[in-house]
Amino acid sequence: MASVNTRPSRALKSRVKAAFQEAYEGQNVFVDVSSGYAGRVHVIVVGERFERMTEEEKQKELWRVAREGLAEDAQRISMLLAYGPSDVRAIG
Amino acid sequence: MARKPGDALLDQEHAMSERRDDGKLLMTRVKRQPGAMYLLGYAIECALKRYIMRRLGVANLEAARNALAESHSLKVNLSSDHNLERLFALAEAVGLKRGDDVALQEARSIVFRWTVDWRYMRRSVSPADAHYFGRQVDVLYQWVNAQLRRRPPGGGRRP
Repeated sequence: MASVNTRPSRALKSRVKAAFQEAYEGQNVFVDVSSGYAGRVHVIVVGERFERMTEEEKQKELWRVAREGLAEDAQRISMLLAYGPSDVRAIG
Repeated sequence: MARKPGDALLDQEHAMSERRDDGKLLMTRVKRQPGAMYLLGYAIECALKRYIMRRLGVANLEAARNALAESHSLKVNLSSDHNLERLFALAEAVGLKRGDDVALQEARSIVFRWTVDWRYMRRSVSPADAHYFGRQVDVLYQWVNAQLRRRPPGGGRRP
């Protein structure tokens, strides 16, 4: 396992971002990939399609996208978060 | 130096089960979702700190900090660290199996978003989302505690 403070490679971040952008192509979904711990990444997606989903529905969909688009690299994701535009407005 | 209250292994063991029970009661009996979610996340923090101490064979967080610095070259202040993802990574460094199945991936993804600032949470949380969070806490809580029954990798110290 990578050390706790190891940062993920740029190549991994690019692959993860591309997989989510491809899955949501044409749907006006914003994708952000940032560094987590031990070489893993966090993924945040924002889009209208997540507006009325429960957390469980969001997680099921996002992990399906991750597994289908990234295969083994899906294990390098530690957090997947989805927000609708109203969630983002509420955060401020 | 006097230890910080709550830093002992026994404190963490007590808190992890008590706060989990409190959280479940708040969620199911009186539907106080934000407070329940705060307590349930806190139970995971305690479970991870307990795991680290048990694996290192130490009785408090200060001793765990010293052991992590000596044996793993990791500089951490476990007493003030409330980041669940970082604590999980530290637990992995001393033997916790990550677990790659889908249920654990999902549980980590949901539970790692917890922060100690949830005690100030003002937004409302739907019952469905709160109960889902509670179920993911259960998955992770049981996984971490079950790992203590495993022999440590590399013939390390038994908890």
